[in-house]
Amino acid sequence: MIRNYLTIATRNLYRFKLYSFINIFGLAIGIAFFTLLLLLIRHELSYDVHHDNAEKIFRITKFVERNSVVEKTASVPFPFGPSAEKFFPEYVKSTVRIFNFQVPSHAISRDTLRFNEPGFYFADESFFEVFDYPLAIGDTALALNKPNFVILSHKAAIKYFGEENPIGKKIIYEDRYPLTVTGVFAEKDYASHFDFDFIASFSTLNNMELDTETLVNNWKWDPCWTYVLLKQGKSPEDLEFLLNKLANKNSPDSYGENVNIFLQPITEIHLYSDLDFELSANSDVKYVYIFAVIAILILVVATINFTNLSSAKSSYRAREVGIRKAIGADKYDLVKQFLVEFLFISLLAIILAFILVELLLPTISDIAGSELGFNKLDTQILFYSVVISGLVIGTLASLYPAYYLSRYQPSEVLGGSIMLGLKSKRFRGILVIVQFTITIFLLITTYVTGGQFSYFKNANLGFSHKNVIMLSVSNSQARFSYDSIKNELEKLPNVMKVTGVEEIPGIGYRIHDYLPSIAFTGDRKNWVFVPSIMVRPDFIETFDVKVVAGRDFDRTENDEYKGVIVNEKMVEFLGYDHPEMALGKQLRSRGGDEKIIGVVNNFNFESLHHEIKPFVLDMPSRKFQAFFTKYIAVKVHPEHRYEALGDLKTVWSQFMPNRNFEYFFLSDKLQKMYFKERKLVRVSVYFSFVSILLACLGLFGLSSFIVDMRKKEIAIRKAIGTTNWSVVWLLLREFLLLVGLAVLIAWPLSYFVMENWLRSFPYRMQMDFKVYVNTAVIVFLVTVITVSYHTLKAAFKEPTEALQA
Amino acid sequence: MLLQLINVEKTYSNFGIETVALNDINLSVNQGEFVSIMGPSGCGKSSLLNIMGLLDKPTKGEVIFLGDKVSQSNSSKRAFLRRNHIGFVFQSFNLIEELTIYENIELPLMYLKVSASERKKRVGELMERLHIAHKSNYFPQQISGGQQQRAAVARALISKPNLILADEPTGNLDSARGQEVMEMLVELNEEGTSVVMVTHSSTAAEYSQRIIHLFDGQLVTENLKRVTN
Ligand SMILES: Nc1ncnc2c1ncn2[C@@H]1O[C@H](COP(=O)(O)OP(=O)(O)OP(=O)(O)O)[C@@H](O)[C@H]1O
Ligand SMILES: [Mg+2]
Repeated sequence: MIRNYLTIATRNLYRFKLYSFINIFGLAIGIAFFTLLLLLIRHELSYDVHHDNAEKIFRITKFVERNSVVEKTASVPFPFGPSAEKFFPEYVKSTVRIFNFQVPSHAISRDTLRFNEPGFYFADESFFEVFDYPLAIGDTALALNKPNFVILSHKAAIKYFGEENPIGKKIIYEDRYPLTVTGVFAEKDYASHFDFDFIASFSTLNNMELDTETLVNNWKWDPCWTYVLLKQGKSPEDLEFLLNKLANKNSPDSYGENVNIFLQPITEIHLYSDLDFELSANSDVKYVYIFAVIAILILVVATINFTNLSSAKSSYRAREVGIRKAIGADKYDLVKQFLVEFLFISLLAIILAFILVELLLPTISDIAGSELGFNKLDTQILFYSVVISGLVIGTLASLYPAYYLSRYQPSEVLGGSIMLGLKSKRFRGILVIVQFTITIFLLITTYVTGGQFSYFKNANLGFSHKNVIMLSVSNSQARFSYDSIKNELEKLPNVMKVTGVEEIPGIGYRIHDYLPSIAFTGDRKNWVFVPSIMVRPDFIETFDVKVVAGRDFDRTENDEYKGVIVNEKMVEFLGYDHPEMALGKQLRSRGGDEKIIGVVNNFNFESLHHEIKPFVLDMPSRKFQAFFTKYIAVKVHPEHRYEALGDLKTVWSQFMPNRNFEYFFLSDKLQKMYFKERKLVRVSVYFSFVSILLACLGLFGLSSFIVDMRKKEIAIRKAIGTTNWSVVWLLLREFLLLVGLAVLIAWPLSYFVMENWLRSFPYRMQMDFKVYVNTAVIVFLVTVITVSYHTLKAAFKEPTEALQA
Repeated sequence: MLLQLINVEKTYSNFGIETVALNDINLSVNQGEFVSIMGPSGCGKSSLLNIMGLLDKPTKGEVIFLGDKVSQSNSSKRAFLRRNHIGFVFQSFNLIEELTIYENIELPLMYLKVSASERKKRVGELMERLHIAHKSNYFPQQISGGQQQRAAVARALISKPNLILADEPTGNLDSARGQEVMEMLVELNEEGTSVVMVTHSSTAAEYSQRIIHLFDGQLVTENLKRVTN
């Protein structure tokens, strides 16, 4: 019997080619994009689950809060991990620290090969006790157990050693320390928040310039990402409590009691963590939900296409149903028959979907900014994803038409040669409305997310970054010769201003504590936390920050010790009505008694996701200025940026002959902060396009059926003298009405959703109602174009043909 | 007795308009009978046939088929009885366009779950007998009306039903083809199958043993006659 069903299914597919094409292709697109989103979601959820003990691994994070300014760091001091292990052995099975001097890159060389490597880390010997990052070559028990050992990633091994076996060979760290390769990691086939190319043994640090004091007793500096492996059955909350006490006791008195320790499950880092000093920029679970919603919307649109076309086409099958019933088939036989038939169509769609997925995977991975390469994906998972989503969509889409078809009564359909009208018109209408509501919604989403993203890109941050080139010097000797470098740079024709900073303006800052004069009682409780960065002279001119009151830093005035500059928010925070009033007021820092010498405008010192807060610009004391000079910022001539870059490189190699030139344009870096929004824009552009495509395919098919059904009516109207154009209008009207209703539903819906989304940003674009008008116009135009092919064809046909039938 | 209708009424209601198609019909068909139903257009012939063929339920009254009361049986029960005991022939042939002649005739046997080899044998024999074997692999639209109707008769016969219901089987055929079909029905009837046929043509009605006249949903007269002479 199945054979009979399939025979008739194939012959029907062949007979109604347009319908078949639209149904199969539409379904395939639906399946393919649904699958792609599933893969994306699965990828997002798969971070760090590959560790055997994933459930028991926690990262120690530290929150310090005062006057509602919270410093949230993903890393903790050197002694934290070892102390936790020492004092709480009943809870802690093992800990591991990861350290990288908090610098953006490390110089690694081998013979003539020399690169600045961002993925270089030191890790405790217990690395493999806690984590499971599989080795391709090497022994996990031995690879990190001695100083000057290093394990390379698969990628790094190829980069430095090509086809050679690197084991036992050496690479040079920062021109001074030879490290012996003791292992190579297997090619990466997992997702992790920790992405690395080199893991060197922690004991290597003992031979470097870090003093033992720092390594053992410094509870102030937080440079170590520290992970705990809990013992079986122990609750993280209990350990958290104990670690809190440990931290309170050991942290410096000035903030010890403000410290809070949180244990973060390793599997939640990628989607939930957004702290300072993350190992890598994490994603956000919000986007997983958004992808899931889009996946469901695409599924709905694809399902509706199938349902609508199949039920519209069903009148062509009514007679067959009647005959089969007269012969003695019952309802269930027919439901079975049509389910088999539709699943067969789904199967064809699944095959096509495979091809689509294979073609689209690279694009989607690229758009989503994840590395789900086809080769990296388990083909089995891919296979099941496509087949399962195909069957799910196929079944959902088949239920209604199968039920609908099986209901035809032989007494009604076998009577004569009457053409059956379109039944269930209202139901189909509702589905078209749903489809277009989704499409319009996605279009508006695209518009708004796109608008917000470009707002981010082009917003006036209150300082200029367009022509600023940043050189990273944090771990090189260059920072000790900062003044001579600045001197050399300023001699260059295209260099306009040079300064040095501790953090990248517009991206990062530190939290320092200050004692403002209004509360100057000596009571430690009144020290406040204020975001700030340490800068070298000429900061204000390099970044075109506006001085509202007072003056810029001046070398001759000993401002290193005596002067700070604050922003207007800080003036407000301190309780002064006017910037001028803040001038000369004391703002004691840990470095000494300082006074406010200037007030600058409120510029966005961190991403636009955050509102501008009180802020302090401070100059480091001479003793520490090298330590605080992590980047040299160079403002260059706007028309000669690239010439300037070449000159910078020359100066760089004079001062740092052994280190590769390392720079970035500040604007580029600033834009990268909005990578999540960018991802959202790209995904919604893609998927709203898919949704339009699907909806149009559906409408095209539907219009062909509807016109066919009404051809007799059209012919009669024309025979009695109706003009062609009023026939066109007659046919178009219905579709436009449906789309119009969809517009009316989609508008408030999108407004509500998008306003909510926008409201999560303190700085946001203005919602322009033109967006709504534009999307409606687009959708109406697309509808008219889609529907007019069949409509015009029908309207301009001579009526005789249809009337003779 | 094969089939009996007792006080059967059929009312259609569409958009609130009620149409009485059949009114208090009492009628029985015996095993081996050949009955014609005649009457003007719209008098309820097809409605009557649909009820006799268990395709439709009467609004009121009882239908007794092979001793069972079936007027209110569910659709599966009625489908089961149709599958096993009733064959239909229609004016517009109603062959499934996407199936070949062979496949059309074979279809009832598939619902009866007859084995493939048995099906092949029975369909083959029947097609030989009705002289359409050479059209076995043609699709309905590729053969003449007469051949289509013969195929339709073959499909009605293939399950060896007790009752054949034919709604104007000759309506779309010229007189020669019509006569062929009528002769086939008579032959079947002589083999013991009951036939109930709706027709407008008195020539066709001549082949039957009994003619029922229907007017405005009511049974007018029953003419008992013998044709065999
Ligand atoms: N499905 C239906 N819905 C509403 N009214 C119907 C339906 N089927 C038949 N009728 C009405 O019932 C009455 C009897 O119809 P029926 O088809 O039984 O007549 P008929 O004798 O077969 O006519 P014809 O010779 O034209 O085939 C007619 O008035 C018809 O309009
Ligand atoms: Mg009729």
